[in-house]
Amino acid sequence: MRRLIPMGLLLLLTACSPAGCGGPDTPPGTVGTAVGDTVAPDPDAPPVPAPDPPLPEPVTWPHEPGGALVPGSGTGATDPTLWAAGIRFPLEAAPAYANSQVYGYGGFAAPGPGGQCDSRNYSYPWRDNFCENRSWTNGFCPTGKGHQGQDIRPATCEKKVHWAVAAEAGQITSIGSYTVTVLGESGRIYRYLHLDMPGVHALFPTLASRTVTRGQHLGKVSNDFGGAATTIHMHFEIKAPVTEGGPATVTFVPTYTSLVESYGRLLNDAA
Amino acid sequence: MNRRRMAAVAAGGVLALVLAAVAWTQIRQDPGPIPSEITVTPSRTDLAALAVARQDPLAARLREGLDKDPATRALMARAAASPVPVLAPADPALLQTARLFTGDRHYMMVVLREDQIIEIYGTTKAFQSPVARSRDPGAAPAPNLTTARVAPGVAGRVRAQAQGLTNIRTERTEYGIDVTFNRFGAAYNVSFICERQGVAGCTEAEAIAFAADLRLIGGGPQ
Repeated sequence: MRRLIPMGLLLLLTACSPAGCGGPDTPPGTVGTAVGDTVAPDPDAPPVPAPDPPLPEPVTWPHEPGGALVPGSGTGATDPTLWAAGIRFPLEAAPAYANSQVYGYGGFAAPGPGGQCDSRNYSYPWRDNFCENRSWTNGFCPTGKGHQGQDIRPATCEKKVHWAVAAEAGQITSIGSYTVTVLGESGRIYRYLHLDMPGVHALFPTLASRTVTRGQHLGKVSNDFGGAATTIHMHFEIKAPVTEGGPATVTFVPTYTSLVESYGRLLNDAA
Repeated sequence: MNRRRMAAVAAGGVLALVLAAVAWTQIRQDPGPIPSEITVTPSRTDLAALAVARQDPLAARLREGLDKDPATRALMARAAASPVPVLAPADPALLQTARLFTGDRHYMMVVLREDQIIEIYGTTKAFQSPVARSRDPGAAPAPNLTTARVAPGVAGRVRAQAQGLTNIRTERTEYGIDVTFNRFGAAYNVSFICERQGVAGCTEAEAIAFAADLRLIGGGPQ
């Protein structure tokens, strides 16, 4: 019994909001009506409008915080800035899975047996992999080197199915053998890697066709890597002019936080 | 079920509720600080360097040729209207492949070389994080934007500096190499997208030499 009393108190604390236990519709100072009391309706009172239905709870998904890389895969960026706030999530549809290709199942440094199409690679939580161990230069990484973007798997482990879309309105400035570059109206440079490149060329056959709107199809996620193949995923990176107060420097900026923000909007029909 | 078991079940339920509440508040956390946009104002030294570059005889000949060529005349008109000084390669053959994209305080010129896409980007805009403005000793460390500053011994660096490039940095990328620098008060980035291993022009020295040889073809404050 002595144990039950603190349990009960804890339950009461959990059930009540900091504003009290009256619920959001109870105005401050309202005295409750006791059970059994009867209140006569006032015939002269104007009709009470029906209360607005409560706002639906936002849809969310499990995701690790920015900078929290797979343990042992490097040290993540500590900068929490949303360097590309308001972008369209660069895949058309959810679910999508931001995580590591190298440190995920089927990767070079996998946590255990399994292939790239392992269901554990196609599940939440999301993981940041900006700054993951690489030899490439990256001023935002504590070590000065690391992955320069974020790897994202589409909903399923199939190539040429899932659309990549423009993060913002702008111009496709180049289409390489496995790169698509979009210069956004904001001046940010977005680069998409490993799309189905013949499909990209078919969508944008002429230079005149390369002005894109926010959310416009760019191509389908695949595994193109020049003459070779990589895993089925899209590498998404952002370069932007950044200043710390001195001269501006054009540099790769942390991507994950902006992706989290944009995916949250996508899940809540506000992409 | 005895009382003790009921208490254990109730405790488990309470714990689950508390954990869910904590997780929910974490999920709904503030997405992060949003950077502000800043327009970079050139110094008097920058403006003087720009005036000198406009008088450069090699650049003047280049502009004259591009103005006369029907294939590049429209590009030159857009370059002249750019608020950012437009740097372009001096090689006429490369310029025949050039496309120029201009925007609000930025431009990008793309030229094609064998197995290589070269994107020359310039801007007088910059993003500044509130984290940078409010940085204190306990805050997250500043990004080291000078990490890749080019070592003194790298070929081409002296020539690049003589041309007025400052804050020269190189970054190895997944697809090639980038060179960034400042000139005329603007920030520039040249991306070399190398379509296969061992493509000529994708070494650090070659990338810096390319950046050093860029010429002013128009634009910038009057």
